[in-house]
Amino acid sequence: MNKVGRRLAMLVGGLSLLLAVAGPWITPYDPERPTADVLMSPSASHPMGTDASGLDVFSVTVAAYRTDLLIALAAVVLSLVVGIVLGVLAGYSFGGSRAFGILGKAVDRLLDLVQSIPVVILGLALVATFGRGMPSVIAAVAFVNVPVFARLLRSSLKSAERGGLVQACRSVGLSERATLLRHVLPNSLDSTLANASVALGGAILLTAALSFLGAGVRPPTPEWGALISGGANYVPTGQWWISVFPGLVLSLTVVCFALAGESVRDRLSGASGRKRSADAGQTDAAQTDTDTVMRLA
Amino acid sequence: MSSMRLQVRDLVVEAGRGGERTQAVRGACLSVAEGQVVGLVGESGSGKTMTSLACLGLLPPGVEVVGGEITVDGHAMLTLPERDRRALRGPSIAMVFQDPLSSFHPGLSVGTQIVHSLRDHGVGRAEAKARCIEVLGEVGLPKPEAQARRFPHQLSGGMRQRAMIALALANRPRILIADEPTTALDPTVQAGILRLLRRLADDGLGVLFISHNLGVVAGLCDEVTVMRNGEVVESGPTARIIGDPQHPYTQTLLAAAPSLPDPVEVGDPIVVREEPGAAAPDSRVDRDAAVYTLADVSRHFVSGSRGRKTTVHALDGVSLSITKGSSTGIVGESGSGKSTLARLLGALDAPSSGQVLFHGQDLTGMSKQDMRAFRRKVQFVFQDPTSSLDPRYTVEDTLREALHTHGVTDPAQVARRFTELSEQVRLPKSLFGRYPRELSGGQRQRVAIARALAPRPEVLIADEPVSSLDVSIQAQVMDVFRDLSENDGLTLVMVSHDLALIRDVCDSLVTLYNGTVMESSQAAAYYEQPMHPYSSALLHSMPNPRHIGRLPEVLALGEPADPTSPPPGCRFHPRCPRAQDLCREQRPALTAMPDRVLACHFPLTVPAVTAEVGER
Repeated sequence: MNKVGRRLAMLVGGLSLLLAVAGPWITPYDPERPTADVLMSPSASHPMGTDASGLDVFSVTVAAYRTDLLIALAAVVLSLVVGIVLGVLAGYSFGGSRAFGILGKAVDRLLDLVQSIPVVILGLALVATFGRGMPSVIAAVAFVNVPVFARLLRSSLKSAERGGLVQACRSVGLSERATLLRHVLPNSLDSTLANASVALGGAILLTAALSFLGAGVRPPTPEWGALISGGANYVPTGQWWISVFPGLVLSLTVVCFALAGESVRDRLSGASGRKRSADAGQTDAAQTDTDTVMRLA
Repeated sequence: MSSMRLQVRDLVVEAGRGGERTQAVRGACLSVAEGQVVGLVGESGSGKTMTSLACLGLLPPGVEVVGGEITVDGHAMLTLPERDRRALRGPSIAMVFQDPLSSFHPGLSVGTQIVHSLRDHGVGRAEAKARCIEVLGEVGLPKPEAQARRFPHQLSGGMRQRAMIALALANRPRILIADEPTTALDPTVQAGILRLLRRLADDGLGVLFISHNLGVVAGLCDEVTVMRNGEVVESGPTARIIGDPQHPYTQTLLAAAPSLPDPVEVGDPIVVREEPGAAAPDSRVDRDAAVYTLADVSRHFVSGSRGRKTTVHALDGVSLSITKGSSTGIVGESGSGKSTLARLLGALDAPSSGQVLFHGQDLTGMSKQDMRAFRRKVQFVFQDPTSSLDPRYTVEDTLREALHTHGVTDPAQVARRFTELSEQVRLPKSLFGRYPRELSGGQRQRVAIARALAPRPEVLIADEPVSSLDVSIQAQVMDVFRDLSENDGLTLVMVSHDLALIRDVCDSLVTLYNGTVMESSQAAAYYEQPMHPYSSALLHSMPNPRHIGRLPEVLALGEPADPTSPPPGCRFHPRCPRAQDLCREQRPALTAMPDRVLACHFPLTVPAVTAEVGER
């Protein structure tokens, strides 16, 4: 993706963040209280129309931004914390300690296990167990990202341990803890942290996808996936606006976050030719995901 | 001037983007005639590689020629369109790089790649195949038909470089540019490659040989061009440039170049037990004086799973002791177990069998407390200071941490130690606020040495401490080590592949081959009269700037033995010119002599080699 594209993505992403923060002050209607107008097509009073219960689609879409972003942020932070802990256990040998070696292998297999569970099924299971609500969705979205961060950190720790710095720290006589916390981790976290910014876009998408399938937040809470899913029934009868507008906003947001995230990552980890091509692959993946949601919508 | 193969006139190469452009090459001139080897000498950043890439028209993106002329085999390279330049690469001009593994396609056999390069220039299929075998034989690969079917990773370093040269020679170029082609190789293997290049030149090839090693250049080249900061500072016949340099920079380079100077004062000998594996310590060793005692130490690395296990015999039955205050060099080719031994001494690794005793205490199974005490007494300096220093720590942070780790926390005391360390390693205190990336390679290595010295260790172990540095810096850093061992009473253990470099520093030497001790002796005796054929081969393979027009000797046949399947009997016998049946069957025991310990059935006793090696 070229520079201009990324700049544009940053700009749109930034503007939309403003929108999320300023949401309650700019929405013309209360996103949770129906108006008298039911299934109105887009007009001056309802720029994106209204849905079957009379909610203003524009207001709900703007308000939903907060919900989705909040869930995605919480999930990414949560998965980052858990991922770093697991990554350290899986990737660092603690001076060839036997106990940590076994623990590390166990964590590796655990990560395999986690990655083999389909997220939608997991989301449904969580919702079935703990009820619909933010904690369940956050847990499900975080669950998907934990192995990603853990694996990233694991591999950078593994290569760091073969490098000179760890050897040098040991030979100087630093304890394993000091070596890890003062030298190895700070120098290995870059790529993991940088990838968190990219993961945010994906997390938003996943949040919406879970809601779309009915495993998301409880209905009155404004949420994109729920909105799209609720409107999908009306598309065949011509009331396209309920699904299409939030769908477009969702796609735009996710793509912008993915691109902006890549810019942040490259700036953090020093862009190289190899990394840039890897980024291109991920952008494609993000776009395919977006297409899928669009098709669902 | 029909014999002139390559001519570069007033070449100017610029690098960088937009407004920030730097001149990598500023008005360089050089020429290579038929049958001539021209050396292009300079340190990193001198512009020698850019000059050579410009000759091929292969400058990297963002780097371009902005002035001058390049004539390759009568063609003006700079004015030709890319299409015509491509046609010249191969039949007219070819290049060999430092690292053949990254220059070969890893997924195609060597033969296929050579055939491809021929087919690209319109040679018929059958003819290309025949030429491929022919050229592989030409560069001295045994059984060229078999080698052609092998993949790059299946060849050893020296073989791979020969195959790379074969690839370059396939289209019968008139000019060969060789960019540090032997830098990554062991001196014993390097000597063979140099001889090959000389032979090719004698057959009419023009060779531009790029190197930082004046010893190699002195032996191989007819003419030398010295570059610095993109400019040619001096050029002319080798005898004049190396033998009687006029420019101060060439003189500096030459003064810093490792050669084998006059014998130094004899230091404490290393005493090695006669029988490897004998459990009782030798009575002749003063036990207080022995810092380290190694008894039949082996280190095997096992990889792979059941059925396909491979065992790398990094060290096999090594017994030796290191006396207090001595400075010991551990020498040998790559894969001889030098670094493994150093790591065992530093307790960075544990032996598979045998004991490493430090002041009589076994390093394996030490309590945490004892280990902490050991770490304070024994410190390590690594090869690459860039990776062994934390990029987020300033010099001061790094040193302070080392001091704190060993209990020096009082600010006044820390400040005092900073001053002492700065003097010991000759690193100005004004640099203490800098990060490693803001320091030069030599300065970084000084920081690493200072960090090692911070806890006032008794023993300093250095693993190839200068091999990643430029020649002129190497000498300065070695001076630091010499001072430490001579004036500060430090016990120094230094791993190196460069016998000339450590000569000034070490008073005793342990020669390893294939994980076993071949000879361990007082340094002076070793340099004067090596008694093991392997030691002799090592010494003779060292390039020497004093030997103008004389290439290093090849006294060890072939290349280092595969450590996964060490040969029976004497480990060195497959490469030894003196090997007899006894050597093939029985492993020679380490035998004590007045000034050394030796493991050889037929040691060299005639000091025939002394005159050649020791002369200056």
